[in-house]
Amino acid sequence: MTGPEARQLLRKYNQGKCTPEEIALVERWYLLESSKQNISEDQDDFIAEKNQMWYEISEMSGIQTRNKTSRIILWGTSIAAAVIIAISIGSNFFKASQPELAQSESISKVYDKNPGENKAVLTLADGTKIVLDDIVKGTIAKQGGITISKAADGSIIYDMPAVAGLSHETVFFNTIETPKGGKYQITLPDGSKVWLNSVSSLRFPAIFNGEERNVELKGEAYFEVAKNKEKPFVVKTNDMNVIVTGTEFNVMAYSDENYSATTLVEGSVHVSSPNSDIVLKPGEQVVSNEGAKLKKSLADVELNIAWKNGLFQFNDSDMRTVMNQISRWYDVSIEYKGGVPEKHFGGYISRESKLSQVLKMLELSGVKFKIEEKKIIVLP
Amino acid sequence: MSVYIALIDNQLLDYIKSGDQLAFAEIYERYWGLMFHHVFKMTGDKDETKDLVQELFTNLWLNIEQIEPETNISAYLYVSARNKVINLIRHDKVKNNYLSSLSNFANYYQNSVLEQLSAKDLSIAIEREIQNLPCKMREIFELSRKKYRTHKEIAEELQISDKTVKKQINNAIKILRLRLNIFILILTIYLSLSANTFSL
Repeated sequence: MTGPEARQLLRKYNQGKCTPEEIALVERWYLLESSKQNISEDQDDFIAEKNQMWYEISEMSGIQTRNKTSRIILWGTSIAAAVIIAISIGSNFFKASQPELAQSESISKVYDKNPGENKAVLTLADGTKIVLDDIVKGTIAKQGGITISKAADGSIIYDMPAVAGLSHETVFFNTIETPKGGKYQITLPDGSKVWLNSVSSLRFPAIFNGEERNVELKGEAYFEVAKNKEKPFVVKTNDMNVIVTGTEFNVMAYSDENYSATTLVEGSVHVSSPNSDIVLKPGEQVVSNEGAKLKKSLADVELNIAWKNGLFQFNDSDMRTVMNQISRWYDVSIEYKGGVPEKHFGGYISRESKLSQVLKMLELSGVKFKIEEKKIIVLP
Repeated sequence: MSVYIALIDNQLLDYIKSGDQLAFAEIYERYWGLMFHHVFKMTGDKDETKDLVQELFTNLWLNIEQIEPETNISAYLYVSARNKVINLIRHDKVKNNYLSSLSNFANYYQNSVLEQLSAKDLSIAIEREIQNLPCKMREIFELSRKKYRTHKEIAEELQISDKTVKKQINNAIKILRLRLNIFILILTIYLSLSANTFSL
């Protein structure tokens, strides 16, 4: 074989036109060559190429690039800062001095806000609106033979007497809606429990008498669906339908967030949209990104349901994500002076904290806030 | 830390198939070094190597739907890289005179029958490449790989039963969880303590 013939052989190999014998020849030769070759350069330099190549790959494959390192550092510093501040405050607690730590120049107490509370409006089929808060107790309404009452823990219970007497043709649609600074737990007529986050609404029939148990969600809710294999429970949002028979999951579908997500905690759910169809296992989530195809991934479940457990929890969350949650819970609007800071946050804080306390925690990551009447200004 | 690190390659492949970018990033994390090292060794040209490796991973992402779920990713990447290196060789874009080496090789074996490489040969070849990585890179690679070895493999190596391995791993996970919970508890206490003090 001559040099030009060798070139010809490799061309055939690349084109997939080699005989099995020729393939064996090329591959065995390649293997031998690769065992003979060495690198003389200092190979520690290679690591420097890693990030640059990843940047190019992300560009070419059309996926988002993330600057991982800087985010991780922020996480680290904010946690470290939280612990350090906590320790100094711990000692402060006993010494009862050092006022400069308790004082922040920009976060005034004048317009401070209390955390959100149990608050919602229930709209019955006939248009009657019932304000639900911690004060109302006992039976609150009757419609079509169904008693709607409020339990001691504040949840709403639909009580159906023997279904026999009820007309199965009439479906009464009820809507429960939480305002900014509100949350509410409701028990649906089938026994399913729903926790509604702030600025969310759920539309549901007073009796589930169809083939499916259909509800419509805007905003965010955690579902604990009562088992019923014959009648699937279907949560409809703008972007997706979540179909289950009995399970626990969270659906986030705020219109002012740029994505919506269903996170499965227990059981199994089926998520469908006009162009995709996905089955989730516990610990997985499906994200819909502004009309794009649904995407499945592993979920940080704790993070996704932190709100239900009374926590703000962030992990590498950007400024807008954090402030949107605060805006909804404390009923304040957000103004960014000089653009949205490129900060990321990690950590927890109780949702029972006052607004000023939450903002102080966030200030540990190097951002500054000013509270005005029903408004937070994020300073540059 | 990424949850993906605990997954084996084929689980990651599953996630990549459903469009999961973080799973793809984990595969890159695992294999970029191995691929870079191999290609640079063969070509001796850093820019060609970077281009080739970028293309390799980009193609993996873009063609993921055509890749069978059982595919061995390391072998897939190795074979794709080999095809691309051979392509560079025949366009004279590499340091060595590989063409004369190939013709000598062919002449030497012209009267004997060479067997095709088996899947096992391939994995031995890849293993050898891993062993030849510079120290630091090899450590990173093996660390990530050890985490997702199957219980059976570990059992074979340590000559203990599958069940024992499983039990040991579960124990380790329990201890880790416990530690994590305590950490979270302490953190929460600190945070609520600081919150209370602020409100005074």
